[in-house]
Amino acid sequence: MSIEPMHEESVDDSGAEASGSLAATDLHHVYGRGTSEEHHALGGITFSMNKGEFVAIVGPSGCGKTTLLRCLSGLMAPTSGSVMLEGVPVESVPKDLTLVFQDYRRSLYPWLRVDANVEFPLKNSGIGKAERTERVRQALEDVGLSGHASKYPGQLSGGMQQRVSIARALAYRPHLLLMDEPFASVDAQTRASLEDVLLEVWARRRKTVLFVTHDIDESVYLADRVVVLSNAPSHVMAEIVVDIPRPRDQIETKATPEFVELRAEVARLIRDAGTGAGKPAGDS
Amino acid sequence: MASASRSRRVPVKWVRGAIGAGVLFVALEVLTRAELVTAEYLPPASSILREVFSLLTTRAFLRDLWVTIQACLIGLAIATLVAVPLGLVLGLGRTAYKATIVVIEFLRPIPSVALIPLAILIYGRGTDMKVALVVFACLWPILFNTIYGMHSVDPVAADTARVFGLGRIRIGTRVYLRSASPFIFTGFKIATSIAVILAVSAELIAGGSEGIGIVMLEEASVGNQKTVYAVTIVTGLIGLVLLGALGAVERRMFAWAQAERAVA
Repeated sequence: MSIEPMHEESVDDSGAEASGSLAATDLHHVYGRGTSEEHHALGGITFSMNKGEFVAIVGPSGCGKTTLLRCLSGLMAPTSGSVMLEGVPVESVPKDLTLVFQDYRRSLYPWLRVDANVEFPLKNSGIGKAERTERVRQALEDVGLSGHASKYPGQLSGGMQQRVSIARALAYRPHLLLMDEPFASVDAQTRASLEDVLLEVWARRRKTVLFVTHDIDESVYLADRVVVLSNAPSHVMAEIVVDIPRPRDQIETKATPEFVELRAEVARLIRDAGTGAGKPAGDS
Repeated sequence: MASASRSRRVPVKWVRGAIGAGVLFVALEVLTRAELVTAEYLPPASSILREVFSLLTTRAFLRDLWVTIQACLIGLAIATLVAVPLGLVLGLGRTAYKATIVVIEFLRPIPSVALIPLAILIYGRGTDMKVALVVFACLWPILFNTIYGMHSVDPVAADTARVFGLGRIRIGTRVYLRSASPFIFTGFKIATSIAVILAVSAELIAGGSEGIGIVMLEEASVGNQKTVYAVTIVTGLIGLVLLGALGAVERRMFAWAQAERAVA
């Protein structure tokens, strides 16, 4: 799969012109406040991302990555702090954003065929039938599922199901695409191929992507920038710029000294987070 | 491939069923022909079967049959129209659920047949009375299955609709109701069996002028066992035919739910 130099985007992507910038400022979230089960998940997260950027968020398990995504997407209000999408505060789920869930099996609608699943969110947004069909076709083509449009999700393998849910998000054409450990529950082989499908589509469609993962290799391989979170209550410990040239390759890129060095750096940060060494003294 | 193996499986099931029915038929026939059982208690199976066929080709009997089935169908329709929206609301809203569950749990254990005298008092002895009883009895399985279906909707499925900007009402109908539809259908199937029981019971207890229950009472009063047996078999056949049809609908419409269960 070689990546063609960007072909004309004029027909496509209305979102290409608009920005998909996101800014989170001092996000705190506490579950079950005032009860014995009180859990301080987010401890003041601040970061931002620019239009077209691919940012990965990594952190030790249980560090509140999913909580963060729920707050960023507007599914849940943080206890305090603000989220701005393109300069507008996020209070409920904004139109210009969507989220790909880790659990594709639960996120796809088993009663709809693949094409109807991809079309599902479009039916809500006043887009004409012809345009919807075209978007569905293109999105399925983007993820390499053109021949499977009339199957039910239950008839597809896990990797293919997750590709359907990525296609669904692409057809929706959000400015910002949030992904919550999307490849965590597929096997290693499938995972590598899904990563490449995602990178290829991203190169072509230039979405702003925020990709949450607990896999260090994956974060460095995919992203322009890796945001490393601490243990809960989590804050941003470091932001690491990954200036490895694209297109990247699963074998070649991962063998380069830059890759090896960066992944070691991220790994060290996460290990330190585990021992508490990364915690600043004055953490609220 | 899947459909091929399915179509092969169905005949096997039918063949086995036919063998079971055949063995029973022959056993009964031998039992009566050998006069091990007096014909007064149990007429030969072949003569009952002949009587079933002759009933099913008699216009008057078919009219009675239709009266009973009609009461079942109208009652089922009304019960569904009431129970599904109610179940949707109760299944989605915690407050509504808590506020009504006490009343529902009180009403539900009342045996529907115990309401027959009351129904006669209010509706007389005709179709209205039967419909009212069928509605009362059928409400519960549909309502509870709808609520149960709502509660079993995956929160990720609902969150998915939310991140694609769907509003509450659309999420209610396109995700919750759709996702719960196999449960609702199961409730409807249970209700269908109950409807037949109630319609026939109401006829047997309340009397009246039409319906297969009435035919049964009349034939019994003149000591016509063979016909009473035959009508009894017909009541069983009603359920068998209705449930068979619903099963076929279920296999077509809810194949996805079967596949889900197989995966999970």
